[in-house]
Amino acid sequence: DFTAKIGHLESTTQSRHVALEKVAAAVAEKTGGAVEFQLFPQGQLGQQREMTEAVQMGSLEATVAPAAFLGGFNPVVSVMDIPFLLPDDPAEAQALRDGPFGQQLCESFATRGVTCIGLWPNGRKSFSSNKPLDGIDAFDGQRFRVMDSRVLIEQFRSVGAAAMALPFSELYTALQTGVVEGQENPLDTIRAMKYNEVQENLLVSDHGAMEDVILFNTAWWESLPEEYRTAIREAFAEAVPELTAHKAAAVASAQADLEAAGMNVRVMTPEEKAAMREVMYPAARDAYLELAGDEGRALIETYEGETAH
Amino acid sequence: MQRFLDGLARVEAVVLAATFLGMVGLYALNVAVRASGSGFATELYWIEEAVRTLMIYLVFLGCGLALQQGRHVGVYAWRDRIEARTGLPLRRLIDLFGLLFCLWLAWIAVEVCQFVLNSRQMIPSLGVSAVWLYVAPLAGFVLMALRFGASLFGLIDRYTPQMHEAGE
Amino acid sequence: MIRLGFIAVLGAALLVGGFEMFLILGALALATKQLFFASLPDMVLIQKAVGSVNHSTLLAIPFFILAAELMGDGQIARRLTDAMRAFLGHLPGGMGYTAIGGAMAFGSVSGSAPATVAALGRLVYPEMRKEGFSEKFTLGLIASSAETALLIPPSITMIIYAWMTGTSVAELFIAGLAVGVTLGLAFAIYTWWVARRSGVRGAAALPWGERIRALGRAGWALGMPIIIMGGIYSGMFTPTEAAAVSVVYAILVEMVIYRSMGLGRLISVTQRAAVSTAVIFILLAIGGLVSYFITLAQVPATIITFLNEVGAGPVIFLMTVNVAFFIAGMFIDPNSALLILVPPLYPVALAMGIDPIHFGMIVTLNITIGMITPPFGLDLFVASSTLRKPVLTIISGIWPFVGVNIIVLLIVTYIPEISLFLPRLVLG
Ligand code: NA
Ligand code: NA
Repeated sequence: DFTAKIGHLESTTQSRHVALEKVAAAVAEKTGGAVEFQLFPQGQLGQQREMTEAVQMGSLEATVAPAAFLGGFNPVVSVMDIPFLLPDDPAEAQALRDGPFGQQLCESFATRGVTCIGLWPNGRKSFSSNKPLDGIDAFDGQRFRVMDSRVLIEQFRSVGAAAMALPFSELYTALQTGVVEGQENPLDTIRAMKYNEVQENLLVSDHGAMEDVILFNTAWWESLPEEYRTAIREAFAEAVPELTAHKAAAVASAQADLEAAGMNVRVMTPEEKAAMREVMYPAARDAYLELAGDEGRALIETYEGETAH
Repeated sequence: MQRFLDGLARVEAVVLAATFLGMVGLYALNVAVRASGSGFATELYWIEEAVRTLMIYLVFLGCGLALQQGRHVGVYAWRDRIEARTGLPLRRLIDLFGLLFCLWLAWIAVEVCQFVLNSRQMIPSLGVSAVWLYVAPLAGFVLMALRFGASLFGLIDRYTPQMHEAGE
Repeated sequence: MIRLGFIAVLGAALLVGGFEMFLILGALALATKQLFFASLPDMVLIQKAVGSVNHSTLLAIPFFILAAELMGDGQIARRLTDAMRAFLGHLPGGMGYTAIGGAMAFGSVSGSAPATVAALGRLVYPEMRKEGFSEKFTLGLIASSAETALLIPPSITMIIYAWMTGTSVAELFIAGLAVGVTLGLAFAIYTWWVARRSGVRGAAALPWGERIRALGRAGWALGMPIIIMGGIYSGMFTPTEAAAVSVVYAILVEMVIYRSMGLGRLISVTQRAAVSTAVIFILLAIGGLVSYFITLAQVPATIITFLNEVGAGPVIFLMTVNVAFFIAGMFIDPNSALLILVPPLYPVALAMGIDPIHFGMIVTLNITIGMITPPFGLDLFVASSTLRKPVLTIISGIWPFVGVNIIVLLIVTYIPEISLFLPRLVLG
């Protein structure tokens, strides 16, 4: 009765798609087959900007989008670009997603013509480089590739590194040839893109949250009976433990593979992380406040209130 | 009308050349600054997006001139033979179809522009509204509709250069 | 089925009727939308058309087109040809090898076959005729040897393929070098055989001093491929940036060093390149719409199911790919064939375990063949308009070269190593 095309960027073996397949099956079961999800992975329906816009227009019913790609639609969501935002502990991080911070973030999409029904965890970014990453000082003078985000540029600037905005499609070549020396991505992405072939050092920092935002076309969402909406919300929420486990397994095997492939892997200690957070967080947060206005300020207040101990 | 069309073609040619050379200049600047090792390279993060946006203008603004110059690709060898043999006014049909099709697409482009303005979508690295992406096809389809219309009413001859391009 | 039939008949009728290709693709996209996806908002047409070209991989194309136009219009193409001739002109049929070598040399700075035909045709045609090659052979060789420009990097076709499939441009480029040289050698062997049979003689051999001088005169021109390839593989810049750098280099060499071009000329050449860009990109934009509907209809899954049921393996699949491209290439322009055929076929090729780079070489070779097969052969038209010869005369000389091209295609199709050994060697 209801069919939703859902587009996203990941390949069919990656955590997001595997979890989406579970969600599609669960939704079909909970609604007795009345709601069907058709998945279009790997950017088959376009790049993320196009897909998000298509969800606004109604030519696509839903997309599961990395927060980092949504800044043009909703500057508030760029809060997720801030390094060391979410606690390391998965349960504490999930509490933030489910609590006032997560709800306020999700609601900020309502005035942008789409309905956010939740956030999904999709791993954390770490640093890699061809130069040593022994400590915070080692970042000084290195060139890192970033997505074009003011917040990320400030993250690197705060430790003396230069950030270059390059398209993801050119990153491998850019690392290989030395256009940039380092980059930041989750470990399973680093393995999938074979960056180990062109990078020597890996610093497992888990500094940046890779949060997925689940967005539905508002008109389609509101055309659903209440019980189906509840079923869909439940299906997405119930998939989280499995999603987290799948991602954790992928990251663990990626780390082993990268080590076996000859990368010099070092895991950051909690003390080191705390020290780096102290440098990076304020700089990146201030850049965020500048671009996200009053809504951003309110969200940061909620966040800092919730995380203050 | 004739003078308007001639002037328009000249303006288009200059705008296209300026846009194109501007794209080259920005990209080359990016490479040069990075190669120099200057920290200023970080400040140029917006160039890729800017050049990509200019490319969209290059494409859609070039389509009208391409039509007038008979440069669009197609299989033209059979058309005139069919026209001669059957008396079917194919050229007029093509012009009419092109005119209506481009006007309709231009109208949809207006809808898209309104939609994107209302949604307040931005191109983040440029700090401008994403509507600029869709002003380009709007302008492009209007410029093409103008040429199809002018050809339909015999104001321009876009078929002779086309035959030359096709080598017949 | 009836609806699909309607779409096919509509496309064929508009094609035969001489509608512009972008109008045909647009009409097909519109018909598909109304017949199969009527509930989608019309806005999707504009949104996808812009989204299809708003892609960083594609940025290299306008730059390479502009660089080619500048070098063809200025002195670079001529000097490259003169250098080739100084070394090859004395062999029996030497102007034939000069034409092939010139096309390969110009191809190494230009990504487009039509640009190569236009730049070299006028330079080598009179010389080859003087040497005693027949008109038919000369025209055929000029139109077809330009195909090497699509294989020897840089290559616009490979950039489009990379954009559609997410394959690495750098890997495709390096693979194309081997395949391009193979094709050039094949044309040279055929030229040798014709020259011997028809008793074509060479010019007098030049003394080495003359040769070195000709090479020296082409020095700035030869700097271009070194900058492009050296820059990409040594890490100075990305393939897209290399394209922009090649434009700056061409402008500097033509305007400042050779003084062959003033500001007015620069603007008119740039405007011409802009229109060439628009002509290709409007096809990419509207072709992107067509492949969007192919994706929505989940056509690749249908093809895979069908091939599995028939029990076809990679050998038969690749033969089918070649036949499909050959037939499409006869009637529609090669870029449109690329846009229509790659989206449904590429996932199938992956599922069959065919290497994406190898598949890219097969596709690119098919595109080169489409450039010279009648009735719609872009290079035939360009050769005709630059050399002022009737298309039918050129077509009558093209068939042996189509044959050579097909032999090379079969070799590359069934010996993946030709495509894969260089990328492995260079990129590990
Ligand atoms: Na080339
Ligand atoms: Na052809």
